[in-house]
Amino acid sequence: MSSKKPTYQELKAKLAEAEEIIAALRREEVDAVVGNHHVVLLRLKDAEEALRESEKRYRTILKSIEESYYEVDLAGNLTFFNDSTCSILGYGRDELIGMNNRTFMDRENAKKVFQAFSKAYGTGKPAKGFDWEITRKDGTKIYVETSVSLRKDSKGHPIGFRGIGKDITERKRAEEQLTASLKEKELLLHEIHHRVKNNMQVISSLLKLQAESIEDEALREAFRNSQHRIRAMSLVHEKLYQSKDLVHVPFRDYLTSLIRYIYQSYTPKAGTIELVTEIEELPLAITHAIPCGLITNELLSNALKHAFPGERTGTITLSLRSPEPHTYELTVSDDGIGLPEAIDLKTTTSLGLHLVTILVEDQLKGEIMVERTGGTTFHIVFGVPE
Amino acid sequence: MRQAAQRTKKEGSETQGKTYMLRLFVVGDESNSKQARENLLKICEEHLKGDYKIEIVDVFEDFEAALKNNILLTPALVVVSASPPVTIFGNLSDTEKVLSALGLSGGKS
Repeated sequence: MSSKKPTYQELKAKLAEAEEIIAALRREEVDAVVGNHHVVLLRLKDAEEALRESEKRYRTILKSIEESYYEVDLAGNLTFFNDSTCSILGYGRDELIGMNNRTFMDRENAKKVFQAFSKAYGTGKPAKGFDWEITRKDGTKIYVETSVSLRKDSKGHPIGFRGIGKDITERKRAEEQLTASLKEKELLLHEIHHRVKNNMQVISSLLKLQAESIEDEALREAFRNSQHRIRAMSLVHEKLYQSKDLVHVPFRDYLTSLIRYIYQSYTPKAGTIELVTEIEELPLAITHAIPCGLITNELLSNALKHAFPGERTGTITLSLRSPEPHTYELTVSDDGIGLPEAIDLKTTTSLGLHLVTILVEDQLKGEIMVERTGGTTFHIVFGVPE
Repeated sequence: MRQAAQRTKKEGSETQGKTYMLRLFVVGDESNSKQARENLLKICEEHLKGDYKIEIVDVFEDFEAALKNNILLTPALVVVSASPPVTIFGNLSDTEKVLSALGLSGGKS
């Protein structure tokens, strides 16, 4: 306040006073600070109590949680942790304090920890959900899911890391078992599809052999039809076990193979019947794939056999598309002589068409429509589950 | 400030050994202020034999007085009659210290 230079005595007195003030503050014997314009109340006692209360609360939380809470320095040495950390790691509190994280994990996991710590250090953001394999003091291995975030001092300088760890060994074991059993089931399923396909091919071959010794043309035709139906079904199993997905049939691939097989078995005269396919790549479960395959087999066989008698030429178009989500439309169309007027899908005695109606309505829960303009077109619309 | 100090110095030298002039700065009814008041009265009664004058200043009410006496914290006791005036901070629970500020230290207790 004085413009004059203070004397040594005055300075000494001021220093003594300053020391007094600090001492009083330390003893918490101060109520208020008097500034140049106002008085600031200091309720050190209350603040202290509130702090102690909140500290107590945090300590209680840390004590009561099952998860491990840990703090390490930048080198990964444990500096603070709760009791759960001790029980999870199997070490005593005295052993654990100052222990480096590498002590209880192998090199590979230590590398993972280092990467997570580096990431938290570099980004300043918490890294979550790391699974680490930890070796307990007794040598048993456990999995711990951990989070890591950067710890900073009051000036914002990084001083270490903190995080929560959870023992997920049981969950991990269950997951491993599940994965193993899933793999086993996949293998079994694969095997079953393979065997079913083989058995069906044997039946198909038997029918073919049997048919060869039959004189009666109509009877032989019936055998041939049955053989084709079985072949249509066995092809589904064949495609299934060849695909990685054992649930959905790669339907485009399936239909293409099926069509080629049917076309070849009727061997139309070269250049007389053209086959056009427009098949979208749509997944289809086996429950839908088999009826679809059988329907295609019947309709395509019919067209090949009846639509183009004699020297008549033409085109058969086969398409599968999805006009809207979860709805598929299968279309088999020809520009041949057309379905005789006398044939009604509902009352027909032809096994093939009767089969088609049953498959559409009972198996696919869909609808079938026949168009008789400029040949014959069958529209089959059905829903597929999500 | 210096003038005020000089004046008290003069007064102090005149009244040395006679009447103790004490000024206690407090703030409201805060716990340390309350303790300081009680402690001071007790010490005065026990050691000063009625030979004292206590002025209690609540800085909430008389802010200027605190500034004039260069008081930064409360509670604070200024022994005005000492030469030079002595200020002690805190709730005056340390009797020895208060006595020494009053020039009554040592074997007196």
